Amino acid sequence: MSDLGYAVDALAQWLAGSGKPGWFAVLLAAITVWVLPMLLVIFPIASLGQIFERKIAAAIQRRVGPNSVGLDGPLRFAFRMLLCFLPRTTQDKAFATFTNLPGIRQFLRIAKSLGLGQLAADGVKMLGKEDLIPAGADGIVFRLAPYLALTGAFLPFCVVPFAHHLVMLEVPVGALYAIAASGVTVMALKMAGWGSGSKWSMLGGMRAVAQLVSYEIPVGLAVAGVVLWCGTMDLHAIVGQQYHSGVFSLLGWNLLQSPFLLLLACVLFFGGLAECQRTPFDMAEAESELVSGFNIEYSGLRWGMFAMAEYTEMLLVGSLVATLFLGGYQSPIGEQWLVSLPVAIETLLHITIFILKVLASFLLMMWIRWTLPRFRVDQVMRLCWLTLVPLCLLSLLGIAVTMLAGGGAEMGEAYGRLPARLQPQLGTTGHLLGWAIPLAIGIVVVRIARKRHGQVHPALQRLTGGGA
Amino acid sequence: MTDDPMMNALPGSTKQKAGNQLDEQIHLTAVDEFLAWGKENSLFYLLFATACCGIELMQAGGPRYDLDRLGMIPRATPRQSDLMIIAGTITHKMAERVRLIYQQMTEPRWVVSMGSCANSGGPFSKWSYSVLNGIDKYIPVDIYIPGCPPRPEALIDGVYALRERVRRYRTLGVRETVPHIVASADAAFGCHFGKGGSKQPEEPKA
Amino acid sequence: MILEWVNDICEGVQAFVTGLRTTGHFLVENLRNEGGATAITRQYPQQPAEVVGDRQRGHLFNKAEICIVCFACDKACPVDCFKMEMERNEDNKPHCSRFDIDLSKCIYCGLCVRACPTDSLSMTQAFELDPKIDGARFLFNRNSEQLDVHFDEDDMQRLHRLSAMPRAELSAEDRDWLAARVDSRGQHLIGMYGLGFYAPEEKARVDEEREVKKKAKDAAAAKAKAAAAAAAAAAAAAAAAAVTPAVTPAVIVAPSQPLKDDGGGA
Repeated sequence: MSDLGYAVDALAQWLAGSGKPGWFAVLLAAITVWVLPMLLVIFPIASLGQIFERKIAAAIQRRVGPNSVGLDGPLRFAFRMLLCFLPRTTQDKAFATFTNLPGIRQFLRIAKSLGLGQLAADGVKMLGKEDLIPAGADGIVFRLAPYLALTGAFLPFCVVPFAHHLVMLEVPVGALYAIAASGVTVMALKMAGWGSGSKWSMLGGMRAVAQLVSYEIPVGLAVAGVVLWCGTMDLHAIVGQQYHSGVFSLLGWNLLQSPFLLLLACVLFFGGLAECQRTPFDMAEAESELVSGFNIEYSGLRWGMFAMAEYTEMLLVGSLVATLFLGGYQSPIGEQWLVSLPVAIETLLHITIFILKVLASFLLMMWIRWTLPRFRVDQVMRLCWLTLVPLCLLSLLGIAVTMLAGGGAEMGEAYGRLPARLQPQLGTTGHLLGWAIPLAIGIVVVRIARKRHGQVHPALQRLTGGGA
Repeated sequence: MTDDPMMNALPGSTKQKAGNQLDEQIHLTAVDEFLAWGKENSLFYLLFATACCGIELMQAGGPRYDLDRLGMIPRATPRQSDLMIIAGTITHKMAERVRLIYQQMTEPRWVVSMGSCANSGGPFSKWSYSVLNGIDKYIPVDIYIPGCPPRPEALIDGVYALRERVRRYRTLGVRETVPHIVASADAAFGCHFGKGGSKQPEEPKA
Repeated sequence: MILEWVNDICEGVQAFVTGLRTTGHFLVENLRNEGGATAITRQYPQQPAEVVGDRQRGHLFNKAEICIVCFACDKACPVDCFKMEMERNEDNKPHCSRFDIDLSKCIYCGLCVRACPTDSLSMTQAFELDPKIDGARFLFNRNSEQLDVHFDEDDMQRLHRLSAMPRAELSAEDRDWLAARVDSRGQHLIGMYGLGFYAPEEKARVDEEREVKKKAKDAAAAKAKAAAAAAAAAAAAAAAAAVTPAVTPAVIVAPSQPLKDDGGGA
């Protein structure tokens, strides 16, 4: 057995038939398992995410959004290419005939109203854009940065389980690896900022580093909480921990195990939001202050790579939240029946469920982006160091106390082919108490705090001269 | 047709038509058409406004008229934008900055002159010592939109005229040899006007 | 201090949720109505342009028939966007042979409309440059017969080239060609590079005027017919009743003097 992960080994074995798989079978299997999910799952979703976001933004702002670009452009191009031996007029005629077929016409109309062609149009335009490298730029660093950003966004997906049989790599330190690999993005942003040779992009890069490095801490602590609870760093094993054999399999999700884990989920989500430079935290490309921040000098496809990296990172945050807290690829209801289905169907269903979960956090991110204005630099830092980090520490303490009170960790339920791992066995009463006690304390503290400080905001008090 | 060489170079004229037919038989035109389709439908415009026309530009980008509908989203940096909408009065001092920003934009790039001030100096054209009479003295302009300020609908109308011009832009094939300014007005209105043909962008005043 | 911190977090969460609720309301509402029925977007070229009000100032329009070329508008104009030429007709009345409005200069202030003594200038609500009404995309004021003349691209080029030339330099052939297509008295809306436009309102107006004129002409013809019949009857009666032979008044038909001709303006 090689060290390339269970899925690669299994596929290589299947390809080779009986006997030891040769290097070619292993290579083919590795490419299939590692590259295909990237190309077939992540890339389309990340690129569709842009059009998705424009539609969401339009809906929130009561606009229509892109609705003038259909798929007729690429289709016409395809006709031109396929029928290149025919004269132009015949190509046009064939195209017109094809697009007037009943089903095709409706499809094209719907595609147009959804603006699906926008994506192709943007891509094609970027292809044709001048690839400009400013005179003052550091050429190598400037060229390298977009690739590095994309790398940093894609690398962590190696350990994310898309389905029970579709994990690229099962590393024992998967959670740690995911955080570490996504840290490459920091370097990329800094390189982009410094390599452009522009003061605005330099400032953007500095801000990006300051912010990303700070937010690594709450994100890391949030992941540490889950690791503490599950007793493993293997993401696939963490998913396996969240298996619940009842009808409502969502009862096994980490999110519902303890109020502290719920808190950690929120922290991970917001920390992730800051990590991928989304709008309340988009200090690095604050348009009103830094023109366009770190990517100010990038044009065409290089900028397209940064945009793609941003959306891929959003996907990554969604995947991490789903994997660590929302049961990964597991269905919220009736997971036990799903597992008993044939492997192909099970995998397809798992992937669908996983994508839906990721899209849910995608949607929430966009919703937040089009709701909140940008924070100031000091506000971003204060949120990180004075709110998220203390909350994380508090939650870690709470989780530890819960586990101690529950009698320590025991062997949890085994799921599928995965070995059973450590998990606190609290029982129903223990779970209820684990929810009730922290919630009660929390509610009491919040009520006292609101009573003591909640009447008038201090700033407002100062404005109104203390009274009224 | 005429003896005017400028007229003969126009796309409507016979010489150009023959050239186009030859061009059509070469395979690059299909690719060019596709590229032009992309460019036409994804005109990112620069966040740039100098005066009251900017308010109408914001209106056009806002929910009511929604330029995003046409695939146009604002970009803050000239490197990533395809279209510069000169919305507002341009003073001599500002004009140099405008040209700098224009030079920072990546090819292919387009310029729309919006409103009377950018077209010809507008209300300041007669007596002001500081206002530039027409931004086309500094940078080539593709589409002029009259109005003071033009309504958002007029801007969208101008954008549609610009899209027609973009559609005829050739990335790989033989580009039209028409002087930029004449070709622009020509693209917008499908004909030639003789008047501004020989006009070339001037050097800035000191 | 800790309580203040807790309170701060609570307030932050509250504000955050309030914001999300507000935008989420629009999001759900818009997504539920497929195609954005609640969207306030006016999809301009597909939907008609918004009419803001009667006093909206669009492009200028000059009614060439009643323009007396008094240059009042030119004096009132703060930006010098007018360019006009005068001709005198047989009655020595001035009328404009050319009335150009430079759209790229015009600031739509309406001062010329106030200054106009004959109300021939008015502001329309049109702002579109390229309404694609018929083959000719430009309004070179055309009379009722010329309105239906189709222009192809070469014609448009020639039209613009000719219209930019001083009238005196035009050859006879060009003049005839123009006369068949363009009402020479009309206004040309031009821009810096001869941008012109053809507004739908103006077509409607011309149609309406044509109708009114036709009616008036018909009415006048009928009236004249009736008057002639009455006169003939009266004359017959008078002749019959006349005892003494009437002295037929010698009607001296004076040949109408050819008035001063400027040679068709300069």
